[in-house]
Amino acid sequence: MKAVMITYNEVLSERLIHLLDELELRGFTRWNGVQGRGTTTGEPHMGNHIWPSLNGAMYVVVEDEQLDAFFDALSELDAQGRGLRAFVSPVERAI
Amino acid sequence: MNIFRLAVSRPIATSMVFIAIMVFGIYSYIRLPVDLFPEVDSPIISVITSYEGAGALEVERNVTEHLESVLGTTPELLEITSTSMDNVSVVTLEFNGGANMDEATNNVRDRLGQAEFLLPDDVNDPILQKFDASAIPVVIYSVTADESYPELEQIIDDYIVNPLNRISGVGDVSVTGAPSREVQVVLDPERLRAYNLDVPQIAQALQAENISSPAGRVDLGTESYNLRVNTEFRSVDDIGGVIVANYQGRQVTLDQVASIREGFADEDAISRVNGRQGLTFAVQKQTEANTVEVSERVMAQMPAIAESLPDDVEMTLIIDTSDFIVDAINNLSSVLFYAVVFVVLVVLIFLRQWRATIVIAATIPVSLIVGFIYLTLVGSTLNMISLSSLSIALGMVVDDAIVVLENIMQHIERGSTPREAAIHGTGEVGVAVVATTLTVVAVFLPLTFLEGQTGVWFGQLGAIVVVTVVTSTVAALTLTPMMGSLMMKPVDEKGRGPLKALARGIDKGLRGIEAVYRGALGVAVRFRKTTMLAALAVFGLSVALVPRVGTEFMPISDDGFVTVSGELETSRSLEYTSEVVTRLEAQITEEVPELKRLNSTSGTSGSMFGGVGGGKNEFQLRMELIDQDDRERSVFEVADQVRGIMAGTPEIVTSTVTAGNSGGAGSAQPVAVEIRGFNLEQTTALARDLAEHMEGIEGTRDVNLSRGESRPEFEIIFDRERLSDFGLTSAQVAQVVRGNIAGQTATIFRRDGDEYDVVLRYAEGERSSLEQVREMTVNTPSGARVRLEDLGEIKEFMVPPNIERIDRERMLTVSAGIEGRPLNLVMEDVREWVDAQNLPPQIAITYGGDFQEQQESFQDLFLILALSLILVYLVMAGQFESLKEPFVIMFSIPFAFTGVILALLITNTPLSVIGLIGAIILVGIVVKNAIVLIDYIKLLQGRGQPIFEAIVDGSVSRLRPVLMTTLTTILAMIPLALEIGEGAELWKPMAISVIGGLSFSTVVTLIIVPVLYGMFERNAKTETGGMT
Repeated sequence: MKAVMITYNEVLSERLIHLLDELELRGFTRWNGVQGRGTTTGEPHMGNHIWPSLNGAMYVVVEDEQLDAFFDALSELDAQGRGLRAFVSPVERAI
Repeated sequence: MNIFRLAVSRPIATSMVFIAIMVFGIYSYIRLPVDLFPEVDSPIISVITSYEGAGALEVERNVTEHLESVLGTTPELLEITSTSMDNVSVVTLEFNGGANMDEATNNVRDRLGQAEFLLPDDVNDPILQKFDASAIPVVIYSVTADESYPELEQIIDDYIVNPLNRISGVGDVSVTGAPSREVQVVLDPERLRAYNLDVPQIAQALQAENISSPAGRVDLGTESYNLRVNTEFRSVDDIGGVIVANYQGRQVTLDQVASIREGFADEDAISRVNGRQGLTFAVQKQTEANTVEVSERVMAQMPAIAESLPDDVEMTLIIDTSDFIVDAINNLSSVLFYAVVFVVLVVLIFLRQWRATIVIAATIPVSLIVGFIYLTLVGSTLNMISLSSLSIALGMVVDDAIVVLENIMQHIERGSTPREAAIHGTGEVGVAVVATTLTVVAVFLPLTFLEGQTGVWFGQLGAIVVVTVVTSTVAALTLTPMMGSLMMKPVDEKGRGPLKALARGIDKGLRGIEAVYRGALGVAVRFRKTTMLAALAVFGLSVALVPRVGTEFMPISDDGFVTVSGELETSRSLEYTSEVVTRLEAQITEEVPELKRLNSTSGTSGSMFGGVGGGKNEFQLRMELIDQDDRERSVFEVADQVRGIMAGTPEIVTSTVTAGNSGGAGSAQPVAVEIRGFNLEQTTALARDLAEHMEGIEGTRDVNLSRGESRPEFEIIFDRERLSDFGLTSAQVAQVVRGNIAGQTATIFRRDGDEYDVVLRYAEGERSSLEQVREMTVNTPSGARVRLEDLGEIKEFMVPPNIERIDRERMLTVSAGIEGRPLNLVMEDVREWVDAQNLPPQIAITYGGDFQEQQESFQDLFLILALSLILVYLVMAGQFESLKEPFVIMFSIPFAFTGVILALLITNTPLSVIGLIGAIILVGIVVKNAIVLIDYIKLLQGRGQPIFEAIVDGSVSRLRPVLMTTLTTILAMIPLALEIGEGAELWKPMAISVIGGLSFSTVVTLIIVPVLYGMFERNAKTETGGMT
């Protein structure tokens, strides 16, 4: 099992859910309206007057064989230029 | 969650809220009554007391002074003035602006009760009169007749008044000018002497024989009957049969000593319409009724009424108040319409998208309709002030939506999805939008604190603008992003067709302007000190121009009416006056081609709306001109011609020609110098000198003295010893003489439910020379007869026809109209002369009229201006969490005033109260631009841009919204500035001030404010958009 941590521009929320549905991935955990900024050039998303936009964050755990398709789909979504980052890490135990 | 996030994520809920507002607004609009002006509780109460047969001096001494001393202690009283003239005393009480008038009326009534025993016995009870806006007649008609004239009053009663009273909404129909019928008992002095009778005796006999009184009950068996004594006259002949004396055993009946006839009381006034003598009747509405509807219903009834009248009776409409209202409302509605068109065009040009235009235009109905809801909730009406206020607010209600949507579109152009752009775009400018609205509120809210006349006008303006602008901000933060997220899409500039080409052209032009602005700002930011010095020089120059701007109270508009009040030599009879007026009418009708209608009243100087008194030598002419579009000359030019006609008529001693009105405000003459002092001769002489000097001052018209020419009066001076020898008192003799000449009302004759006075009097031929007066006899208690000339002598005196007082001091006013020269300059000349006079200590001079009103109003308004400036600073300091930035932003205000001064000078408009209001409004509007600039510059700084780069980039990126909001505000005012029709023209000076001030200050703001910000913030650390 792999865990995928996704932070994304809030506007992608609905498209992300749609994407999960298409890949028949049921489980996810989501935080709406989180702040953050990119490591190099990424625009800050602070939800304030100066940087009004906000991010969302999503934690999805997938089976190893599902990962590639999922990750490709995420890259495709990122290519639209709305701002999306995904980090994959192994899941060692789960209940 | 932010309000705009919520709105964007729940578009249906948002729509429903606004639809609910619209529905409620439309409901309010339908129920709103229409009227000309907001309801005013006038702080003035007049006490009118008639004292038949007394001259001005006696009225002053016996009535006015007593009333003044009693009424002078009324609480909340501001000023007490009075006029004493022949037969009538008018005491006018002016209360403080905020006084409760119901309470004041009760207080006055209580005090009048105390005054009663101080007044002479034959004084009629004082009448209280309050000005009530709903008492202004809805329509006034005149009725003329030839052979039916004697029965005219009856005809009007039966055929006109009764049917009209049945119409719903009609409160009262009052007929004026009707000759009142009376039964005249014309006595023959010879015969009276023969039977040893005098007037009081006969009066007593008539009273005793004309009674109806209950005498108790009589029980007859089981029935009970009322018993009554009734000797009331059943016909005029009955009166003649009354036995008035027993003379040597013979009964003397009244018809033996007098002839009895039905006739008309002496007329006090003759009114004529288009040359024919007639009466007028006025229809008043019930307080809560709608003027326009009542007028329509009355008009609908009129043809049927006209049909029913005898052939020679003709009705002419003199005034239809609803005409003004309908015209004014229509005009203002078209002003509103033009404003909407202009605003929509500006948005379309700048944003080049139908969708964007629709999104922004959507805020217009929403905001305006809330204005209607407000009017309904406070129980006001749809009137000239509220409609003008709406059109003034119109330019501002789209501003917030423009700023928001413009930013949303920039985000879309940079590639965001509409939904994302809506949230981000609104978020970026949300603070600025709220701040700008708060500053506008800070300026308009204090207007609602104004009192008096200016309070009526501008209180509603303030309230409506606050309500609509706050609503527009709410809409801009919810409705605009919501609609934007659903409707907006990137501008497609690539398509073909002329429209697309035009859009590209416009965009190219705007980019060009932006490039020029960027260049200019770059230079200015580099040479900051030079730029600031240049700006200060411009401001200093404009301050130097201030003395050249004239001032006035209220602008005068061409409403097509010319009024003349004039006076012939004193002691002229009514017939003579009427004859002169007839000639004048003919001359005016011939020489003034623009004349539509002319009516006159001879024998009074009072107005149609219930004037009081006036000598028989006075007259009033009222001319109505044809529509403004159909004539070339203005009402002022016509008035000048009429002045020429008056000057060319030798019989006229003084005349005042007034043209146009100042929209119901201030009926006083512009220049009024009040001379206070007890000595009549001294003050009159000074007034004459002043009047003569005033005529020589440039720009004055119709110089007038309020105290009429003194006229001769005869006075009987009794020899008290002789009186006492004969066992008589002055009062007894006075009563006899008064009965002989003025007449004595003995009793009342009733017929068919009407009552007629029975008046005893000598035949006219027996009381028309001094000789005959001297020959009049008085019966002494011993039964002897003594002639008046044996009791004293008759002397001639000169007395003024009227005596005015202010604060219980005698006063007279020298007044003048002005034309072609501002009021302040004329007043300077007047003051110069007054100051040069060596006044005795018992004479004091004060200034009244428009000048005083203007001074008071200006004082109030300057206070409001100061208050607004402070409030605006407070709001911005709070908003920006900074003490320095608001200061920078407020630097745009002085340049707005520079613009106002220049605009007034260029258009040659004097600064009036209305213009000054424009200047105050500007405070709120001009800082909006600066706020938008500074806020965005700070935002860019916060995102890490170096200060000067942020200044230039931020300013350039805000150029379009600043230009758009400025243009919409200016263009919304243009219909007002161009004087399109009645009702709008009053606001012209304000529109000129705002347009001038706003255009000038915007140009300056775009350069000065960023430069100044640079100077102040160069070294300051700004907060970055860190983790908050």
